[in-house]
Amino acid sequence: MVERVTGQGLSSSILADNQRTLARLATYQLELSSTKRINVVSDDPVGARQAMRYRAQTLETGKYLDNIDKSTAFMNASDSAMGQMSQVMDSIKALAVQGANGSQDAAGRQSLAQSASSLLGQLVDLGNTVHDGRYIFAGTATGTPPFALSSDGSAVTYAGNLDSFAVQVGPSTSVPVNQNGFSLFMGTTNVFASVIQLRDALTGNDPGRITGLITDLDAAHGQVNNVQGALGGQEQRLQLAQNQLTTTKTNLGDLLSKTEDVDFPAVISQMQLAQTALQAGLQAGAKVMKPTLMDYL
Amino acid sequence: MTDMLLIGLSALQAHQQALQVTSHNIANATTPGYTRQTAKLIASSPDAGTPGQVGRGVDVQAITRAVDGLLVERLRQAQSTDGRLNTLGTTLKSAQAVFNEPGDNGFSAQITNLFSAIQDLSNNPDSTALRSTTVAQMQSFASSLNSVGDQLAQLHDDLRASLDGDVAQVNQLTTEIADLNQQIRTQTLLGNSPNDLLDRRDQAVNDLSTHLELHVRGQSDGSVLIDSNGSLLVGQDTAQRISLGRRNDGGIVLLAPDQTPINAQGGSIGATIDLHDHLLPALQDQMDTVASSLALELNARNSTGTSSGARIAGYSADTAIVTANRGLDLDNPAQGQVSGSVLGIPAAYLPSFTDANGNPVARNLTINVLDNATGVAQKFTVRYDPTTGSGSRSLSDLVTAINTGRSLGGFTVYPPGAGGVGGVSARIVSADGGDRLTLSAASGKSIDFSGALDTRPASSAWTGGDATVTGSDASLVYGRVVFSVSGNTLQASTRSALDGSVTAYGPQITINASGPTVATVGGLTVTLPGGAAQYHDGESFAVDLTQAGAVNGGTFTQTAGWTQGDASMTIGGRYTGTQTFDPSHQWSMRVITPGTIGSATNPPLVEFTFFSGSASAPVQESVQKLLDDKTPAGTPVQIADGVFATFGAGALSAAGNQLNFTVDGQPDQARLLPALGINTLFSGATASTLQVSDTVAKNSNRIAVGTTRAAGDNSNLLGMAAVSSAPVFGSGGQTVGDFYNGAVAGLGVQVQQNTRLQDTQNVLKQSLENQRQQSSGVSIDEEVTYLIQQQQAYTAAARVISMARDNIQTLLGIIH
Repeated sequence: MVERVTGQGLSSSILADNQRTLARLATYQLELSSTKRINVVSDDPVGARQAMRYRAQTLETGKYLDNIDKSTAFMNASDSAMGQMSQVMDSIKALAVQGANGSQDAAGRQSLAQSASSLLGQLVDLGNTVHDGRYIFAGTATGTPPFALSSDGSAVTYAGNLDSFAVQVGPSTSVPVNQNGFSLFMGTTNVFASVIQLRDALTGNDPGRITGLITDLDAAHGQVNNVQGALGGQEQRLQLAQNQLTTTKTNLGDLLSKTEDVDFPAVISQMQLAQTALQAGLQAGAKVMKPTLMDYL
Repeated sequence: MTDMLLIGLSALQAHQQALQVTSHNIANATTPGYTRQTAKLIASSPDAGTPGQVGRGVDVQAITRAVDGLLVERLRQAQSTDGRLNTLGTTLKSAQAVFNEPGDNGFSAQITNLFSAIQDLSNNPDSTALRSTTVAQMQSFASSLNSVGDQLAQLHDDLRASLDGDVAQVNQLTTEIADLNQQIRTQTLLGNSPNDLLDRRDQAVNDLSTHLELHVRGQSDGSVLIDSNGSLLVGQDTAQRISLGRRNDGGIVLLAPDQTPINAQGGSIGATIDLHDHLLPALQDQMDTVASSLALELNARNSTGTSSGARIAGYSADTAIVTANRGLDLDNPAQGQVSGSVLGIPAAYLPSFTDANGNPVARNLTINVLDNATGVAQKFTVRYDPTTGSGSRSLSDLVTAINTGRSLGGFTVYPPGAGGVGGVSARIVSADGGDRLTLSAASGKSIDFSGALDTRPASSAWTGGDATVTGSDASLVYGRVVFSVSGNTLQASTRSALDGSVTAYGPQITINASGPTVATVGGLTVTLPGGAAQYHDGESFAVDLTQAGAVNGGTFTQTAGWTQGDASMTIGGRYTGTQTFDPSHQWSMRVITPGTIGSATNPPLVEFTFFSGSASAPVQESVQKLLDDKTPAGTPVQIADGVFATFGAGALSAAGNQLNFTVDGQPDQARLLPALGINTLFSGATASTLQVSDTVAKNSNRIAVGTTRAAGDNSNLLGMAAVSSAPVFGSGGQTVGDFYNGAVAGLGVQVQQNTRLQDTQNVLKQSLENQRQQSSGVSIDEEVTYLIQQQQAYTAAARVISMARDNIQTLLGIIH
């Protein structure tokens, strides 16, 4: 038997088919105007989950890079202060060599002692270097000056602590960015004690003791350089982390785009197809629904 | 001859009726649910006995509906599925929209922002401006989470309201169907075929199946019986009105007129109940887990952190436990907050005093009492040990222990010399049926719960000669009596279990210059064998009484002595190890060779004993240090794992002198502080109720940035930042991001699945509808064809009558 085709059946079919094509067109239109393939999670739950993770990771990575940027200034300040300390140590060593020279007389050593005293002051000041309101060589006791010369000038005390100050450069990775003043000046060799002893030996006009102190001063200078080297190592570690994070961020951006961005050529051509289909559907519908037997009676 | 007239008449009548049916069909060509009708014509049988058997014309036997019962049934099922899917789709899509993912403005961005703000502050922990920004970011995080929670709750409430509408419609439809049933029955009994009533009933049943999954049974009298999953909705001519009820667990149940629950299911009502009872609550639970786990982890870190700016003289717990539960173990599930109540500990925050197997284990709580003037603290440990006392761990036990030093429950305070926690008074404040713990420090002191060192060991613990205490006092069952030396007198005292206030116990005893001294205080007898010179001002020892009130032990010998006037020692640094406090494994400093601190010629040699390895298997180690001119007074001396000691100026005068000090990597093992809401960042434990705790909102200094009190210490913030990657969320141990993403993606999958099912269902429904149209729909072309046919037949029948008239006239003409 031939299928009975009724007007109501026909019109509801035509309506439903065109509705489906229109719905597809609306989807393509949304994808194109938002430039995203995934606009709500249900468009592609697996992809959306990845996109959410990539997006969060991109933000996090950006934050880690920001952390590194901020600590770079801090480390540069430490590095430059240590460079100056090294220069001061050079000058102190020169004073010692001059003082040890047999041709120096008491008055000459006296004036050298004055220079030593002022260089000691410079060292203490450098130890109390402030960056962005923080004493950078005080460990984490950054609110108070770590070094103080006693009133009689016989000793320098350290009021900071030995703790490190770290910045976060990964989900569970943090890198220390400071060097405390204790390991810098008092670790194995007490730099201040050596300088004070030199000053006192110069004041006391004691060439023998001055000669003996030159080794201590070399060791002290070596310690400052070592700590500066260690800081350089930390800077390198941060640099390395920065390079990695930058690469990661680029990759994440790429992945995110691949996951959720729209494939323009594909969607545009699909949209063209859907438009053609809609046009064809509408025209066919208009033609099919129009004639009834009544037209011919 | 008249036969012919009658035959013609029957044809006229039959075709007139057929024309009416066809016109009726055409008139209803677009009526929803209309079923094409056909006039069934039948030839009238001839009179019996007539030779030749000529019939007697035509008759309309019946007007039938072109209905396919199977198709109607399948359409009804499709309708029911459609109702279910549409309802699920609407609500699930609304829930999906709440999260606004994926994108830059979704809730997951708020999680990232929260941790970014913590990192910002960690880059500059001493900045007040940044603290305020961080608090603002925390508030913004909390309010976005609240908004998610509130919107989900609103959706949940809306479901209930939409059910009301659904049920009203169901009742209206069942009444209508019962009404139609009655009319149809009457007509059927009269032998009529009430086609249009049948159509109307089919349509009503169809509408009803949008709301519920139906089972329809036709009866011989034309009526239908309708039930859903065995619950009768429409009887022969009566409708069962249904109503809504609430189950004890908050779920929704449908009720019969006699208020008994019925099992009706499917359709939009089934879907709404499913959403209301299972799907949305599951989603809400997941968001509550995000709130409670995140808050717990951050709170646990904040409560055991500290900061240089914070000098906190007292704490009042955010959490109030039910007063009746004051004596109940704090980790008892009965302490959990009941939904809708503000009392009790949120279930996710219940403390833990047990191991993985549920057996009670030792737990420490550190309380540091800081002297604001010197910045040096004394560290106390409130230790729970299941093997002591009754082993209970209630709020009352905790308060008694903090005040007096021990409780009948399993708490004991170390070191014992101050009675309880020296300088701290604990109280239970009752209001509105709830009990809150408050802690307050003596004037000039402040309290924190951190692992920060900067502590000075109690060099006054008991440094003098021996002492012996005997006797018993029934009023001091399981109590602690502290004996302290002042000048040349000895005074015993006890502390109040309720608020820690100190009361003298017995009279002041004068110590004999040449010893021995024997005296009675209360029920106890104390004997000091040595002369007054052996006992020094400020020294003390504690006597713990047994459960029977008798003295436990008896003789107090100088074991960890310190010569008065010797150089002081302060412990500092940031402990990086994992050891926990254990009275049998105490860290200590012992003098090996006496001498003067910082002397080049006469330096003292000291030995530090410390523990390393894992917390469960400590390894004892020791290191010796010479305190010569390279380490003058005030120089940090490294011990181990970030801990160092600093000596003041002066001498260490006696070999063998020893100071014990406390180092603890886990200041709050049981997570008591977040449970009680002390020094926390967030309060509330659900997505809707999470908020920045009042104290932090008012004073951003309450963000504990460090684990030490150094101004630039950001280590606690780094710990909080690491929560973002801590695998502690959900039962599978995911990070907060993964857990949240999983929840949202899970919802996305449900929506996607539902949309796919809807698409399939639409195609199926369309196809069924087409099939129905094919068999039951009105085709105008067809009807017009019938119209022409019937009209022609009508004309022909008229011709027959006219022919019969001619015949009759012919006959009558013959008579003329």
